[in-house]
Amino acid sequence: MNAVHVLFAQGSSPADIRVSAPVFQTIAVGAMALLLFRDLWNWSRPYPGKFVRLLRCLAWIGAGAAIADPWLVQAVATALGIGRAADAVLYVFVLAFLWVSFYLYTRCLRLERDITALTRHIAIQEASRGAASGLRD
Amino acid sequence: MSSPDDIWVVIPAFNEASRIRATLEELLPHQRNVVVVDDGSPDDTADVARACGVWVVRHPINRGQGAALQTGIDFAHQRGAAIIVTFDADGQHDPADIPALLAPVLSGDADIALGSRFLGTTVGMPLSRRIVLKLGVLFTRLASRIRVTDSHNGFRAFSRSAAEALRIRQDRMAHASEILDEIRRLGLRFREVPVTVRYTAATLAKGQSSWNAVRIVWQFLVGKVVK
Repeated sequence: MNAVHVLFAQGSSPADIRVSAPVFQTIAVGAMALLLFRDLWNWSRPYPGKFVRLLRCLAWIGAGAAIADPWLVQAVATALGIGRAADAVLYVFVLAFLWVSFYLYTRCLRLERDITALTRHIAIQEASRGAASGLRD
Repeated sequence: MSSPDDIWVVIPAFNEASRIRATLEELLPHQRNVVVVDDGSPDDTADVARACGVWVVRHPINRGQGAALQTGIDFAHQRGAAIIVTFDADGQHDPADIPALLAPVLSGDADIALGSRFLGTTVGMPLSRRIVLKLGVLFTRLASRIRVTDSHNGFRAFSRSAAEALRIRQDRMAHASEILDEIRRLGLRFREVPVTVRYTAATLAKGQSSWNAVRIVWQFLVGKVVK
């Protein structure tokens, strides 16, 4: 049940609803729209790539739609057999957390490999041979 | 036919100032081309090794044993090595085993010779280490589908072409599993050779703890996914 329905349940007038209900939605959906616009505007830039940009656009659209109409999330939760909208949101967050964790871990691993390559390059450039002191060469 | 000048020994070392001299004193009568890769040790490992007259390649920061091995292999490769032997810095390996290790690579029967302590001799190996190593062998058979008797022995010999083809991407301790995985993937010919591995209180204190095996498995599996 979103703010609009709460206000209906509390007997608020349509005038109250018009003023108080959409404040958060307006700000949040506006922010999502700006983020979406930014990604579309930068679509042809090479970084972070079109696939990641597409995923981000879908995320902004999904989040915007869910905030604008919470009953949409409820409808999706019901359709998927989850039941409550809050549970659906929780599951999405858990999955997103796992994906982000793995994504960052792999990014970190690749960064470490780059550091190793750089370290190796420097080390080989600066290789030196000492003079044996009391040892056979 | 390779001459002794074409054979290079790569020794990855981290904080081995107290032991590297003894290891080199034992090794140098057998091999003249030796490169110690100091993996960013805060102690005097590099200086001690340099004083022994060997090549020293020093990582400015610590990158792990796998990274150090690959650095040493790259260096030896640049110096024209025909065969590259990897050897531990802590004196666990016996240089007298090197000719036997080189034999299958020199004869062309194998691209890589892998030392096996379970075909050879172990001195002072604790039961817990034996169990962990046997579990490692079992894991390698399942994960990499390669049949070896000793999956985590740092005593190996690579032909030049094998060393060229095989890239170690696992910077830390999972490189041993990765090497076996790559041998199977690249279809390289290998031969296990009996070697001696000597454990002392000092090597056991500094060596991998048995629990580290879990971390090595994790690193290896993630490394297989992340290309």
